[in-house]
Amino acid sequence: MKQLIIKPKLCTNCHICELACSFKHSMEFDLAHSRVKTIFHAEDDLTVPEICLQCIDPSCMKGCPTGALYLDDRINCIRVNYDSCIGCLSCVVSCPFGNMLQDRSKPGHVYKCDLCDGDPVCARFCPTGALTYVEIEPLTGSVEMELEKVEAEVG
Amino acid sequence: MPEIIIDGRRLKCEEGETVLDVCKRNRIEVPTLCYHEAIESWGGCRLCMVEISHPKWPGWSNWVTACLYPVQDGLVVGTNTTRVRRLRATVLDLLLARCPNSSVIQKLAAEYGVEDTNYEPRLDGDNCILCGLCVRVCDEVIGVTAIGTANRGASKEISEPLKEPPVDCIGCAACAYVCPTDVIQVIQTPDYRVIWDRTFDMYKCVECGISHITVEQKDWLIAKDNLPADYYDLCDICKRKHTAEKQKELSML
Repeated sequence: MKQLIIKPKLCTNCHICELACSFKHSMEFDLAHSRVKTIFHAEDDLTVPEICLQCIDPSCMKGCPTGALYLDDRINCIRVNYDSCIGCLSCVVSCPFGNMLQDRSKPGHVYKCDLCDGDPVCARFCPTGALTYVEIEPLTGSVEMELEKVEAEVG
Repeated sequence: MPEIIIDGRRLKCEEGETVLDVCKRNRIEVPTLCYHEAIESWGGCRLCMVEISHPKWPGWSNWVTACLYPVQDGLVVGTNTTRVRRLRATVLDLLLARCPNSSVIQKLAAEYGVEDTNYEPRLDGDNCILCGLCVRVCDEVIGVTAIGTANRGASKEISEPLKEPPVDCIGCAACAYVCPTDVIQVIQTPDYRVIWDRTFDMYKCVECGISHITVEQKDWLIAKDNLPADYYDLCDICKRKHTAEKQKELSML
């Protein structure tokens, strides 16, 4: 199963992921339309690309009163069925990570990362590898062990 | 598994599906106004009328609303025949007389060759087509039944109980979102939302003051999902900042 992996240490805050995402989904280069948001921490000189984590137990899906959010198990992605959406914004306020987004210019219109149907452009265009869409093995060891593995990889 | 023929295409379908479900899945266009996937079909607007026939009824055909008619094996459906188009044109002619100023109806009517209504247009009315989507979403999905229909016949309208600001309304604005002709007015400011003549205070983020939902909607969500009272205290932007903070700490380990 492929997953979108975020490695903040490799991010240079170049915003290319945001521009690619925005263009893919709205045909516009506007950071406001991007599903991925980079957040810069000046004190540590570190940027974190924030994107939907595709939770195993998604709060957005639980909050939705109509079942408009569904799991696309082909690519393990939570997606929005706009035909079922009633624009109540329950999903936006339910996501504990703030990754369910709302179009401020259109009241009630929500959007989220849809993994570009299996080929996320943010990962494709990321020049440093901070965002990658790679085949991963399911977690087997402890979280610490997994972190060590990632550490060794990132350096 | 039943198989039906729509516009000459042989399509597989599930037991219990409606003709409209099959059309939607196969991207066959059928116009609808009172249909919404999350809400039980009602068949009120009569726009999704299709012509059906069956090998077992030789020489017979019928008109049905696609949103309500369940599929059966061997059904032959025409979604865009001359008779269907004529029927829809009549429906749109009547709708255009009811709301001559609605751009949605004007556009649909033009697609079916109706530029001007043959009936007397109701010039002083609003754009409501009485499809009842707002009433049904409030009742079925939100479950508060804050609005309903009032009066009968020609004077039927969508209304708050006793024409007073509805006490049960939670201000979620789902009715305004699903309205096909955008009749329901919502006034939105950072501090309050006005809908159905009632003013709702917005539930603001404790850190930055941005708001998405009303206080009543927050209470409704907490009761629905049995969540702690402070679950909705932060807005999406502040929550994202906190998540980024966490991920930063994780990557600094």
